[in-house]
Amino acid sequence: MHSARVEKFYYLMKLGREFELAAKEQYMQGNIAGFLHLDIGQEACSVGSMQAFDKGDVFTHYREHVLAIARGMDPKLIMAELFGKVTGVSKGKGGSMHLFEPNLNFYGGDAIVAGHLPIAVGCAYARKIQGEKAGVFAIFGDGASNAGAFFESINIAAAWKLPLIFFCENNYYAIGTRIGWVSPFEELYNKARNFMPTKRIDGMDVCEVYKAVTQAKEYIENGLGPYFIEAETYRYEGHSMSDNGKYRSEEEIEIFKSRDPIINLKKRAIAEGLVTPEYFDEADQKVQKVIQEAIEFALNSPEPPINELYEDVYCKECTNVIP
Amino acid sequence: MDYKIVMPVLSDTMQKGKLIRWRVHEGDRVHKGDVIAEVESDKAIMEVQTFQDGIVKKLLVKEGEEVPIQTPIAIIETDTNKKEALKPQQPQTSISPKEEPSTVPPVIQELLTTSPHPLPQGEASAAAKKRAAELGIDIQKLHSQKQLPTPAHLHDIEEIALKRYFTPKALKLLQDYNIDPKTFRKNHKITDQEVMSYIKEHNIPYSVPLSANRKAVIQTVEYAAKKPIYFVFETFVLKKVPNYKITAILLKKLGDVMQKHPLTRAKLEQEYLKIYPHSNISVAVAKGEELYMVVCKNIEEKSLEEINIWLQEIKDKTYIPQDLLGSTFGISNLGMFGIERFSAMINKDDVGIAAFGALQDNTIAVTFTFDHRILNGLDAAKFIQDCKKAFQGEENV
Amino acid sequence: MLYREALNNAIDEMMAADESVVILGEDVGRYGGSYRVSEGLFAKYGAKRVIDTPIAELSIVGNAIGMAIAGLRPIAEIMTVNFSLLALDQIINHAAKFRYMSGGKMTIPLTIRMPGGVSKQLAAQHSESYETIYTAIPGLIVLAASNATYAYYGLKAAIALNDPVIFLEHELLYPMKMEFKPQENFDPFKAEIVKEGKDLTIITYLKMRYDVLQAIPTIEQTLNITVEVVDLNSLRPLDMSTITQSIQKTKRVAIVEEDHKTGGYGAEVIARISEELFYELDAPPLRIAGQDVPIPYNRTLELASIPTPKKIAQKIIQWGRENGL
Repeated sequence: MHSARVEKFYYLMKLGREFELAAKEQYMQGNIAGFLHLDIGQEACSVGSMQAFDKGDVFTHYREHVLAIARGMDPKLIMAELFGKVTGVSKGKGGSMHLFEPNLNFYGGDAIVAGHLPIAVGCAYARKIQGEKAGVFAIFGDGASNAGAFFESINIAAAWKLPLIFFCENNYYAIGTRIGWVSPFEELYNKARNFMPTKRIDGMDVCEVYKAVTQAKEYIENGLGPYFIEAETYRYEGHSMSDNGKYRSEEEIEIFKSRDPIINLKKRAIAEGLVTPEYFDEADQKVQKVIQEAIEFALNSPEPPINELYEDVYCKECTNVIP
Repeated sequence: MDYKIVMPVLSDTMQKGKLIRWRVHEGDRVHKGDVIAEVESDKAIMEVQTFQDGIVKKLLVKEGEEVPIQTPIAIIETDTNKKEALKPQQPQTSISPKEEPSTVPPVIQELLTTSPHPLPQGEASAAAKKRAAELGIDIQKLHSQKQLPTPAHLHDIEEIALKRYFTPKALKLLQDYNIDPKTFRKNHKITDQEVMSYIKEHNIPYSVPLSANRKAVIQTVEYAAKKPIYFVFETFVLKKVPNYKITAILLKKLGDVMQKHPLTRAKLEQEYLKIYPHSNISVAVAKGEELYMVVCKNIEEKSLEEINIWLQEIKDKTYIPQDLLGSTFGISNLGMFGIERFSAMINKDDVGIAAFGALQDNTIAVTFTFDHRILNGLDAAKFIQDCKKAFQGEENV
Repeated sequence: MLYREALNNAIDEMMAADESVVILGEDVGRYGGSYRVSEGLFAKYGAKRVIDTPIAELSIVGNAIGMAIAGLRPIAEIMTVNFSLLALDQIINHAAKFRYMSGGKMTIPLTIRMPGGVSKQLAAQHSESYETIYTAIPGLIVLAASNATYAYYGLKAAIALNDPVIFLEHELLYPMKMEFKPQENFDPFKAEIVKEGKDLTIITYLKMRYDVLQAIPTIEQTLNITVEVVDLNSLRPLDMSTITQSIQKTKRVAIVEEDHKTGGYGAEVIARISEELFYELDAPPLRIAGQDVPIPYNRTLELASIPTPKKIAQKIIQWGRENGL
């Protein structure tokens, strides 16, 4: 791995984790409300995939703050959105689960489990007939792999050989339901095996995620059809702020925490001499500064004016005729 | 046995089907399940199968032809031995599909019978209440006086308001002159004088609706005005006969002369002149405000006496269409009003009309109007010459 | 012009004018559409733009949304309104909400065509009218084409709009031959005064327009009145200005709809009228709607479950007599 790339990985994962921790803190202080799904523990999947899939369209589930950051979205705009401020990326009308930025081809935050998969399929179809080289990336959890929309989507994407990466973050739990209780197997690539090439990877290793997505990207860009990646990962927190995650054993959590993507990357990078220890201190300081600025920005931003309520329901032409 | 194949119903919306192609010929042997034709429904081109074995006896529809659903398109002669075997099991085949619909199940009758609406609650409709408030009308009071129905509607309120502010005569004027009551400020009782002065001030016309007869007259004269006509002015000698109407004398004389001039008994119909044997003359009769052209028929066979009686009778008669049809010539007499001379419009498709003025010193001015398409100047001159003679010769009467 | 030809012409012209317009759905391509609406388009525009999908309504609409995000203008055909229930998540949770929850950043120029209503003995799972669902969803536009003219201009307008449009058709109308009236300055959101009158306003839409028109002579002769008929065309937004003008004139209103009475679309229209025009009304509003039962198969039962010209005339005459007409 190139040292500059490793540095970037570290910086983004650290930024992601600190962002989530800050969000958790702000939630507890009452500045953020609603559902808040934290990505802590899963940063390697978010950062590794977005660094590899740097062009093309991205459709995500609702645990997407770190994905958005890794895609290039300003943490200030995300934090402001979490605060429900008008300066937020979705003008305070989407919240944590809906961070859309067409300029980044980032269609993030679909809060209907598996609901974004058919949309990603349609987008991939359009890109194919438009002759675009870059395809589409759809990320979802193990829970989504049980939904009808998932099966329809792998079927259609394979039938039409669409340029689409299905990236399944298997953290083993759909809220409190262990995947093995409701699926015949826990290795979920089996579900797509007859439709397209599949790969199961260590989702706690950012380099492995990066390599796998890069490989998948080349595959879809060559017009060979869709590609399925299952990344084994783990969320340290509950499903959302209201979930304590106590359905999992301490031992299990400790095992995964020993595979922490950020700590392990740092250790390896120092051991292999790729990055100097000083870089990490500098990066950590920079992260703290960015997070601090994001919180201040969000705190100081205005509430949306009340007429925002009626904006953006329809396009301008239609708004004129629809009261 | 004949087995009929019909244009199948291939979709819920299909009304007709088009026969695209026959897959069999007359005389071909076919087996159950064989495709015999392709037809086009409103949705797609579909295949038609036979559900019986047999021989194609007749193809009833040509390729490209469109027929309604359920119309027979082919007849298959089924094998006799099979028919026997099938017969007892298929008693329904002889019953046509368009049987009487079975009686409606009781549960549906329940659905169909609309339970009688309970009468709407409340004393008046919303619109009626709003209008009553605007006009200062007390609905409850009027209800207690039984002057308003329950519930009261807008027109009930409007009626009360009008009665309140207009005298009955004033209301009649509003109706007759079609004036919106809103025109008047309702802060006092409005009398017929006030309405009348408004009518005069604004020169408001009194509208008389056109009667059916007047509409017919308008049509007739408009039609007549388009004809190529010309006039002939004459003065006939005529002596009054006691007890006989002048019109009766005029009818009899003209009717007799018409017998010598076939073109005066003619009608123009497309490529033909149709010449009728009888002298039938339409006479302008005033009845109240209306004007009718009543036809006196077979004049040449009638005596002056009979014509005189006919003229009496038609005055009081209610006309049926036959009374107003069948003439070829017309008469109009304004002599009784002292008019010396005038010209008249030809009635419907008559050849002409004679307009008689007042009898003065045993002479009478007459103006003939002729349709040049039927009667030219020479024909007219001959006809008038004979008329003149007939009028002079008193002995005929 | 046949109703389905008007739809076909609209799609054809929009596809010819704009390469980004595509059509997708079950049997829309090689087969030509289950009601022949897309007939000939596959041959003309090819498999890339006339897309045969699997029987998976959720994906038909979901895929169409993705295409719209990618810059296409998809027309999704759902074989019947009844099947659109499988795609409700995509229609309501995604298509209708993306613009709003992205703070206006997302635009979904999507048209979803679907025929509905009682056809002929198709039974409960193929005969429903669900405008009541779609008209209740902010972010959706709901148009209902009762005639060839509106089918043509309305569909073209729907395809051109930058918001998701539910374009409702009726199965019985497809093979009907209709008069086509060329329009200038067509407004898809404007209701049509089908017939002028001064004593009663009947509001209707889709196929009921024809049942109402058949009932009118009996109503007018029996009650000695003249009736105004308003065909809504656009169900969301609702053209309240045309309705208001008509009711201000007639003071009485009835709505004739094919869907179920309870919670039906007519309930919304009558609610709006009651709120906004209460003091104009000289009689309680009348709703003539389908019975509150699933649509039965048997023809007698089926006809008993929906308004027919005879029932419309009977109900309005009875109601008129009880209410001062």
